[in-house]
Amino acid sequence: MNSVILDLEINNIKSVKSALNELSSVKIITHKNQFTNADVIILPGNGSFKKGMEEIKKRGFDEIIKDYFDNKKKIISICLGLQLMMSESEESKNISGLNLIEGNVLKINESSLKLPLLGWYDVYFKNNFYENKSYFFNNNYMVNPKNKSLVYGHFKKIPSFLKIDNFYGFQFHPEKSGRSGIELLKKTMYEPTSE
Amino acid sequence: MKERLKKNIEVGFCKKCVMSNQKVLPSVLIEDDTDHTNKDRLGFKDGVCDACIEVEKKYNGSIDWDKRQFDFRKLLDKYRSRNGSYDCIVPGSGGKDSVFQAYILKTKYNMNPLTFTFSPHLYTDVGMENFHNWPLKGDVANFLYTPSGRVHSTLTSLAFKNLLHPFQPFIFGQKHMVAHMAQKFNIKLIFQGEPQAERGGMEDELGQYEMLHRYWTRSKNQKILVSGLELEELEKNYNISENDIKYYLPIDENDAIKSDIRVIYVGHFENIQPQENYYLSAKLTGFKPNDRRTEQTFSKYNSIDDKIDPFHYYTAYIKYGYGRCTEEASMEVRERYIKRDEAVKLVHKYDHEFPKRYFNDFLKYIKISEDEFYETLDNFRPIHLWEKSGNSNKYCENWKIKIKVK
Amino acid sequence: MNKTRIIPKLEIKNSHLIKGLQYEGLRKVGDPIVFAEKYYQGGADQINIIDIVSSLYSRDNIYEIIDKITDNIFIPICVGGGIKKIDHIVKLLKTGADRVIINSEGLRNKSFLNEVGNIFGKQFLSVSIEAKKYQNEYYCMMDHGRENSNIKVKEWINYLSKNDVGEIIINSIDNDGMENGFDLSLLKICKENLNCPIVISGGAGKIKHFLEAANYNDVDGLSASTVFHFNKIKIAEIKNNLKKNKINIVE
Repeated sequence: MNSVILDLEINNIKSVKSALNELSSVKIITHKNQFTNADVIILPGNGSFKKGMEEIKKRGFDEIIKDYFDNKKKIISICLGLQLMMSESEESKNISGLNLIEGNVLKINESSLKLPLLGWYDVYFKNNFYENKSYFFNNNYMVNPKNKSLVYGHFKKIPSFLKIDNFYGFQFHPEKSGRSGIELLKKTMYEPTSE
Repeated sequence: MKERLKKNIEVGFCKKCVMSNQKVLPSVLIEDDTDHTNKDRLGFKDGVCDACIEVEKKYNGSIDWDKRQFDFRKLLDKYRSRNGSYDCIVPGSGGKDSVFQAYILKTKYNMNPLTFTFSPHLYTDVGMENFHNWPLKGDVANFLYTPSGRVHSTLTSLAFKNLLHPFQPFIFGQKHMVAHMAQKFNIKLIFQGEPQAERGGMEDELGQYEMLHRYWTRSKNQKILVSGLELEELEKNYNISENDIKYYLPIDENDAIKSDIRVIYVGHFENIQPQENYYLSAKLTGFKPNDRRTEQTFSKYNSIDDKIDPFHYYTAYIKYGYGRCTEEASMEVRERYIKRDEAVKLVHKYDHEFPKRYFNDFLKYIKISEDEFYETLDNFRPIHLWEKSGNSNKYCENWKIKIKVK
Repeated sequence: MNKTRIIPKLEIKNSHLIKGLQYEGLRKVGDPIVFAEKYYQGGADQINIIDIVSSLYSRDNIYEIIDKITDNIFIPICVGGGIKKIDHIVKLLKTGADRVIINSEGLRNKSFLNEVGNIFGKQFLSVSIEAKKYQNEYYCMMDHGRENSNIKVKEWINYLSKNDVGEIIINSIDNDGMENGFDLSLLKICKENLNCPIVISGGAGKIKHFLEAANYNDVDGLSASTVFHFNKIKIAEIKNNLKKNKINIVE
């Protein structure tokens, strides 16, 4: 299996690469011109919505992501990578997202939580898709998809994992969640693609 | 070959540490002259300074520490008290090195030290706290001797003006007072820390564990100058009597011999490593480092109890072209905590720093104006080391060291 | 609910792991990569790595160390020490750092913190405070406890609470390495003014110290060096003890 990481050059992708190294051959690209093919593309992310979209467009990644999403090819999005799939974000008004998933990105508004959401939190997955364990979060904003049935995993009221056919979007960082996170990535990588 | 201070030599630096060849060794009182310029310079062999050569022996396996410690025990057997009385003196301030010495003598060698402190000119807060904690938590008894402020500040002021060496009276007092006390208390052993040879001094003491008489006693009518002045003049013009000056002066050599008083270097028998002493004293007596980096250097744990202390280093910087940082960085290189290139970076960063934190305290203490201070610096500033450059209104920024360590 | 993280802190000089006392001293402990591995295997939830001589010398060693550590360690690695420029951060990111820890440059130049937040996102930034008690007040120190910024900890926390940072790490210089417990009065200052995650560091010596701090209302992370580096307490022991006392931990 070969995977390609779309590097926006504003965040740490080394950990994702290290985590995936055991599971597939991993290539990192910084521009669509370097792209040939991949069984799975990975969009990691940490940073501001505005900067994220700027970089995606600059590097022509939006085309690749749209292609994979529309054609149900496997995508793994992490944190900001997931948020960028939405239409827009409260974080950066007047900036459009990739608009591939209907919905927006909101500032987390849970009175019992400190912001940013930074630390390990228990995530519950529908149908035990993954193990219900603690995973590492580091974000101020959360995705708010119109279609709630896309939310396959949540922590309190915060959507933590979205699944749409072969799109796997994680709000938390599986590559930073110790062994649990590695197991989760393994399962995702080996999960057969549905038609 | 060592050069006398009077003759200028071209600036050079040790290949291993960063010490300058302009460094002078402490006066040998017996040979001293009016200007206290009769000092030897630090010796070098093949570009390496004597201090490095000496300290290297501690680490290259050429010293049999076990044997030395065995010998130490045997030596101390003769002096160890059998009735709980004090059997040795540890001079010190409650700093990391004196804490270590008293501790090792008590716990490893079962001695019963009495500690003596010659008071700093002006205690810093952290210095007072550390000093107090020494007897309080270190299980030692301590006598603090504080000379009259009038006497001490007058001597310090005169030493500053006459020699650009404000610390001379304190150095005399710190070294010599304990010999008087040894006489008074009938204690035969006085301990010092590292052998002078480890700082590059006193070739005739190389490999010796005992300080030679010439370095801490005087002959009966030998003339000693303090602050560059004869004792008669100090009495006549500055109202400093024979009694006032007594403890600044060395004891008579014959008295030392009669009372069988000896000065022994603990550092000959135990590997004294300043940083390790810090760790020990921090836990043992709660020794606290300075609340911030000490001026003109990078450290926080060396010599932090006297507000006047920075001016000792700064005046040496004017006279010899190397600052406090050079001194400390060289020591840390020798003790293998930092590498030479790191020492060079530190020297470039800190050596020239002006110690402004206690500058006003210093001026007030020695009763001179700021202008007088700068004039005095210029009187002693050697042209072969300094050049004028710049037009800053900060006086000291207008002088640059001609040759920096590389 | 919120889980209290156990965070070993590694202080690096060149390629060595070192441990001082009260932010002074450079006693070598060993190879930082070996220790980081050990802590990951031992259940650490995050590891903070600080280059403590970056203000004195160059910073190049740290990149290599982080690069090696992140090859095999899959928990957050936060890196600090003399970070002054955006390209320091970019370089660190490439080696696998997850967050940066900034202290001195933030105190010298507040707008740098804003700049970092704008480019990388505020959750990316941890601000470290080196607190030193001086004449009965806590001051923020810089350059690994060497320079006094003359800004009181209270004032700085006040500013930070209005400006959104990822998390605050509060270090006690006076308690560092002394094994007498965390400085809980520092926590008090933080608690009153901050609403972001707080990590306390400096002084841990016994398991009960961790419990004391964890009980102090919503501390999010407990950081220590001495007890871990010298094998005095295991991470698992701390977690078990906390769990027993009804504190949420990461299993």
